[in-house]
Amino acid sequence: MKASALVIGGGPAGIGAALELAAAGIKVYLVEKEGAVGGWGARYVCKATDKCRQCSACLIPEKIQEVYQEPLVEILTNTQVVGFAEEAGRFQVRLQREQTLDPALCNACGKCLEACPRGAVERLNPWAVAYSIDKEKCAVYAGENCDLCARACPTGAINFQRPSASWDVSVDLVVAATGHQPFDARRKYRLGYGRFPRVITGLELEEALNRIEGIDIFGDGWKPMNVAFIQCVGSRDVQEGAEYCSRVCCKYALRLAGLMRHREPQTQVTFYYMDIQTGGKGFSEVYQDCREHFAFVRGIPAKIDGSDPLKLHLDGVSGQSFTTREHDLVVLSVGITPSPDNEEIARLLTLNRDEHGFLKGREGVYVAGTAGGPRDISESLAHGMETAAKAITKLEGREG
Amino acid sequence: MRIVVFCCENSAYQAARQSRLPAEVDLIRLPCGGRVEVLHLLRAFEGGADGVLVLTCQEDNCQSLHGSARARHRVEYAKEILKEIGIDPERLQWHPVTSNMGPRFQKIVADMVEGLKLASA
Amino acid sequence: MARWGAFICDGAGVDESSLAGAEVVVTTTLPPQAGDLACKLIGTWTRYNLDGGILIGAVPELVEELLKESLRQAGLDPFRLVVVDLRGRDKEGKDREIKAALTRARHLEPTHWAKAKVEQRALIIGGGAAGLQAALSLRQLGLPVLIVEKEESLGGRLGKLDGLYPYDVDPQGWIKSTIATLQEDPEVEILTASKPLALAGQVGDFILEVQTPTGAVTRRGGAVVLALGSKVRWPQESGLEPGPRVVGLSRLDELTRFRLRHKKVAFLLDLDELGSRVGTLSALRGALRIKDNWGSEVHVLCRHLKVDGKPLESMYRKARDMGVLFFKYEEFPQVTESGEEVTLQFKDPDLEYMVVEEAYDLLIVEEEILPAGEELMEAWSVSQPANVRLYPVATNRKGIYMVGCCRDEMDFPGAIQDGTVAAGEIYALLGEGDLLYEEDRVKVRSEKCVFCLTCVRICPHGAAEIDLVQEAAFINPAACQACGMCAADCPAQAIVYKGFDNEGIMAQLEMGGR
Ligand SMILES: Cc1cc2nc3c(=O)[nH]c(=O)nc-3n(C[C@H](O)[C@H](O)[C@H](O)COP(=O)(O)OP(=O)(O)OC[C@H]3O[C@@H](n4cnc5c(N)ncnc54)[C@H](O)[C@@H]3O)c2cc1C
Ligand code: SF4
Ligand code: SF4
Repeated sequence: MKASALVIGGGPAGIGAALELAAAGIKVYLVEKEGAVGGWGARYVCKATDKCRQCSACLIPEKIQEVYQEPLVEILTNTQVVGFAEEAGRFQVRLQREQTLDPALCNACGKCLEACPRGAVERLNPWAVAYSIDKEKCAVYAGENCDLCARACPTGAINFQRPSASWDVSVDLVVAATGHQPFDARRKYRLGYGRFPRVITGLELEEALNRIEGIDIFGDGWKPMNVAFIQCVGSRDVQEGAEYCSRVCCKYALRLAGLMRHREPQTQVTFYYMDIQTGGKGFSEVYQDCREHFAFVRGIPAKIDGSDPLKLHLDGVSGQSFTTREHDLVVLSVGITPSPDNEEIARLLTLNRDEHGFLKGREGVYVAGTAGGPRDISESLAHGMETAAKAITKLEGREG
Repeated sequence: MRIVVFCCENSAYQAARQSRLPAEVDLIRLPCGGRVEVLHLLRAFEGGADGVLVLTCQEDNCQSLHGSARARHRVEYAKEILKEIGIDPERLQWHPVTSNMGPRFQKIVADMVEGLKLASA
Repeated sequence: MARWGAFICDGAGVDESSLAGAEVVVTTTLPPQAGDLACKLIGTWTRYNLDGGILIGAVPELVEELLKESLRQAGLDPFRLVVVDLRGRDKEGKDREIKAALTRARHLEPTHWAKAKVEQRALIIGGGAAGLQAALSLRQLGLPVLIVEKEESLGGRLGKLDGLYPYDVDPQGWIKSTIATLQEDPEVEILTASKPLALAGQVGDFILEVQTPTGAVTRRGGAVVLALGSKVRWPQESGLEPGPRVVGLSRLDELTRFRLRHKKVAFLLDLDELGSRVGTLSALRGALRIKDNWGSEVHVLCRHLKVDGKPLESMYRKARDMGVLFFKYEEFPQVTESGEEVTLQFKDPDLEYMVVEEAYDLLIVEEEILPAGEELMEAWSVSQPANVRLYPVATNRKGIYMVGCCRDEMDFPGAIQDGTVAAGEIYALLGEGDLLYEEDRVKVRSEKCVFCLTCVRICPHGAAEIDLVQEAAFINPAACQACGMCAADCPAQAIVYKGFDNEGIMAQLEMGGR
């Protein structure tokens, strides 16, 4: 089939869609705004204990390799969609590529990383072909003069004067797989995130456990002994306008707790929860394991005091009202919220959003993965594949 | 000192490429943990290896379903033989390492080096 | 003698002397840019007419994939590019890696690719939602299908349920119109009241024997879709007995179809500690329906309310607003049946573990939902364990897919997703009309084979077959996924695996010795 497609977002959903489209002979432009594909999942840790816990984190590097192998997929990192027009069932899309760091020149030697005093150069994941520059940390983007990294680079890959490139592509269909945003735990002021260093999010725990081998998560030799996981932070929450279950947090939290215990068997864990979601093949075993080793308290603490150890107030928690409990580490199981970019994407691609702010697809412009609602990694991948299959069916129907 | 590391291309080999490795390590790639034979393990020792590691996928996560489990069984079997011929079976180990486990790969190798140093001291 | 080229990446810090070896006919330094790198690699390779190349240096995984792809496109054998990644190695480590690579290169033999015509048709077993969706999508993609259904009519479990679904599409209407579309289509063959008997062949050309009411027939197809659905089991362990006051959740639609005279109804969920999303979904559906139509008092008792799916949380809120009461229990309730009533006694953690005692005139109990078709899968060596690499629809065997409730519990949109994904996979596999595969990657040397059939037993992908004429095992190259398990286990060492043969592995082992 001589058709072409634009896939926006290089997370599992975008990669799944791109691979499936390419397998049907469709040329794919895979556009990723960051410096590397992989999405959030590329930061997660393998949660296997003695057994694989089916968290799917290891699928990400594999899928990244697969998509790089696929000749029909053109991967465009640091690129965004800036213009969009529809003409006779086809789409004219204007792409813009930031070229300060040219990935075609970068050979990932890491010299820039050493040169930058602000730690603004990063390798987004171990599979990234090139380094990226974090605009929030970089002095140049803050308006200052600096070219330390550019001078350190032996291949001339970094050049702050290089203008960004923009060009047009014409495609038959578009898949928006722009992903989600983990809930910003700062919004739950009373839980103390951002104020107390030992209140962290599930995402931070994922990243920390991925970086290190033990459970010295702050890198200062301190080990948590008595951990609390607070579920549904930013999910099933009327106040936050998130009257939905994020579907992934119970599972990742149970798995992370299991992993901590596997690494350090003395670690005690308590879960504060409303209902535990255990759907999915093979998950029952994980849950049974957790029931044996962890304490479960039904109810979400109302407030945390920043004392040492941290004090959790269980007001209104069943059977525990007005008592407090102490833990030395609190992990907030943050949920999936719509990406803040959704509004802009919806405007650009003329898409609708549902009552929570997730994108809804339309004829010719499809939505895949967490851009459309909560899903885990493998579900996002499968959804990307389904979306692609649907799109191909439509195209075939149009031609035949 | 020489450590031979058999690694599954799908998992441990990918992890190896994200790690810093000591000079003593020789990596041998396998298409799947299931490809490793007891003969290979013994030959590694015969060829002068001080330690041998077999690093494959998690058992329930093997592309070929039983490859990792087979690798583990073979390692167990080879350990018995090592015991009989008077080689410390701890010199041969199996561990699951997935593609996203660079730090783990590094730690397993470092632990092996450490253990061998202690044993020879 | 083989002609090899050594390609050293710029800045890899490699001493060319470590490359000394007669086979290396050319040594070049490559530029750092991935694009130029590919050009130079291919240029040198063709100019010097190389048998293979050794790429040495700081090669990120992805660059390696790109290079291999460029080689493939240039008609060269990517398999003959040995890559040595020297990142993270010190001087001595580098030398050893290079030596190992040379050894590996010496033992590489080229493999050959072959193309085979495929049967461009899919064999779908099971005519429920997932199977029908697979058929529908495949037809839209232009591939003919066969549907085998054991019942008299298509539709599966969903075909027997009543309305009220919280989805954009009404499953009932969908089933009807889909069946109608498929029945009109001349490229769709539907065999109802029929049972699959045997499956032979491999990906690209399966042969299926089917028992129809009028006798056995055989059909060929390039791919197989198992859409076998689920079966329901009464939760014996709970001590509950089905009766006029205690019924299974699967009979919900039968019950609510006619006037329900019961005043107070309870749904008892999560009997086995875990429960299922689908169970909660049908209970919520039933609760809403009963409340709406007959106004009975409705209670739902569960351990954990499953709300992790699109319609669940909103259905739950709606039910609550309509006056359905939700209770939680941790220890299984005490059930007493007396005449017209069933009484449940339990402690609700949300009510400070207060003892609650309620009498109902109807108790609807969640049953266990089990995958159907285990016998078939065993007979055909098909399996789909909980393994993320097979998610969602792949199985251990190439060309055989599992969709719908026979692989995991799921609701209607889940089944539709499965059917669509499987159709997409099959289109990618069969759409072109032929299948490309490596002919001789893993091969049995029939003269050495002692016909012990170890490989046939252990091959996880069902690729090892029996060749009765040669009296030897035979590895079907299209179905083989090149894991090498058979080569490791063959007691006669009759199986060669190009690229990972014993000689190569042994040579690498010896080379580093002192
Ligand atoms: C704390 C936490 C832990 C989790 N743990 C697990 C787990 O253990 N297992 C699991 O299965 N799931 C887990 N999940 C869920 C998992 O993160 C998601 O299912 C998955 O990342 C969704 O993939 P996606 O492709 O839809 O989106 P993403 O991973 O968000 O990818 C979207 C991609 O699109 C890019 N993008 C966004 N906007 C644009 C644009 N305008 N133009 C171009 N590119 C754009 C982004 O940069 C990103 O690369 C977890 C979630 C959270 C919050
Ligand atoms: S636990 Fe997760 S990352 Fe680890 S092997 Fe299993 S699926 Fe992969
Ligand atoms: S290599 Fe693996 S897939 Fe191929 S025939 Fe042997 S055991 Fe089967």
